[in-house]
Amino acid sequence: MTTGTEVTASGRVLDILERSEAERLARRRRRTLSVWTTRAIVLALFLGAWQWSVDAGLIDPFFFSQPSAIAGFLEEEIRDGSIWPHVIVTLRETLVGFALGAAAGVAAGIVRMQFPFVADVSNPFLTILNVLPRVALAPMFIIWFGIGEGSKVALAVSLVFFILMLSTEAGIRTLDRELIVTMRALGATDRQLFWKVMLPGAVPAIFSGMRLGVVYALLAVVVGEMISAQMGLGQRIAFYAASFRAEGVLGTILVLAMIGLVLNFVVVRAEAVLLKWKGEPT
Amino acid sequence: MDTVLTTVAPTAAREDLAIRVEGVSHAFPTPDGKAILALDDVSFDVPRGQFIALVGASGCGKTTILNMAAGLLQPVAGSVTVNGERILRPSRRTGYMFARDGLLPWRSARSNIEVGLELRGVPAAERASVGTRLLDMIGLSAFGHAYPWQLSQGMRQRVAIARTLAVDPDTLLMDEPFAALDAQTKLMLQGEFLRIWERDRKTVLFVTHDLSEAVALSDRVIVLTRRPGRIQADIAIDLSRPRDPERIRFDARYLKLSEQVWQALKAGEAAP
Repeated sequence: MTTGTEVTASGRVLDILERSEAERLARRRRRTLSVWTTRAIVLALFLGAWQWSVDAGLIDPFFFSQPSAIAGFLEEEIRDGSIWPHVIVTLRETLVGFALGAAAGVAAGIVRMQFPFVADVSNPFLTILNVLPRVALAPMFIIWFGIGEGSKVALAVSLVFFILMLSTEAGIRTLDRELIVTMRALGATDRQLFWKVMLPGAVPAIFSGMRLGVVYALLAVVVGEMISAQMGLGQRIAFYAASFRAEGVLGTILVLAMIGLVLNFVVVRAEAVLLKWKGEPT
Repeated sequence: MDTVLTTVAPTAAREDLAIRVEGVSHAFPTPDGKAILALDDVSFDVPRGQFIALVGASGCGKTTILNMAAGLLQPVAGSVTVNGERILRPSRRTGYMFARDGLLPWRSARSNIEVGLELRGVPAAERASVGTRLLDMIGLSAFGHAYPWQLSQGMRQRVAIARTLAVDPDTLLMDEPFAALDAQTKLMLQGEFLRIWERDRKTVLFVTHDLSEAVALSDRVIVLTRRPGRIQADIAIDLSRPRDPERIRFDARYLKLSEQVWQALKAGEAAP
């Protein structure tokens, strides 16, 4: 074997590898495309079947409405702008409730992990509050905080607080022992250990709690509005339901779904930016 | 087996003592509430600047001695003094290294190297200059911004070495620092570590179960018996420095010393 043929042989191997790699990428692109196409077809079939069944008289539009009616409703609401004040109220309640609940929950988790005595004393009380269906407290919140935004924020806080407290504690508790021993051997004080190891180490767990918490904040706010409110999308749903307007209920639910998606997206993006050190998204 | 040659290193003057282990015994509780003797009356002195290796079967208590010198553990009986002081909590003059690197995953390589200085409140500018110097020394200047997951096992362990050296400790306590590496990387890092160590000769207490590593790196090997750990042999390694762990493996004197340590270890495992 001369060196010349070896070079061409290895050159050929690289060529083949490059080609198969390009092929693999193309296959993946084709697959992504077909997944999205199939999703669109499924959605179109579902909406089409719904629309058609009502047109054909198979199901009663009074109970089920119709995609075209829902689209018409949303178009109308957006054109005359009557939906926006409600969107703003619901969004504000959700964000304030989430922010307060998350801040208090993370703080409580930190305090409880720092001071085991506090944790031991507070355990039974917090457990009772946590297992209690918080929605049952809604009437009391309305009595205490009025039928305005305060009672909805309170309900959201009562849910988000526990989610974030528990995930903060889990994050601190499941931290790699090795890191703590290493940092202690490097001369870290208890305080430094906490701020430089435990808390940053708990950030991924705190974020997964936040992803859950933001959805629960929206849930709490909508439930609160449905029970008693002057404004908000939950109040709208209750109103349309009471006046037997299925397209109004379903159209508003669609708007809520959009809000939920946006909130979730914001948390996921923030997580991706803050947790760059984790490498590939999990 | 009475053929074990025991060469006791000359006792150093008191002010030249870095570590003194005096009559140390220790026991651990077993899950069923009884106590098990881990160390039985172990004593030895380490003069300043000596590289000493502790070897023995697993469970012989070698890491326990290291943890005592680090101040992570208090002996049930006896005392461990470092630089003439009893060690009650981790001292900031001592550097500690483990088999696992323990790098903080959310910090870059540079920031991990500088973390010990940060804990001591060293100003940022000074930290940065130490970080740059050490990154250069371990050959990772181009990787200062890399996170631990982006580094290979060997690179991570290099960063861990640099982190330990950054605080300029006068004593290094090392617990199988190269055990998690593959054979090739291990030899390379041992060589690099020796080169760094030979510059300023800090006192090193090095725990390992790898005999060839112990003989290749250290000035003196202490062999412990199986549990409860007692001193089986204390062997001076009179190989010249600077040493290259890769080349020394074929040196006749090295092979002879290895054989001697091996015999001591065998005798220690058979000990009553």
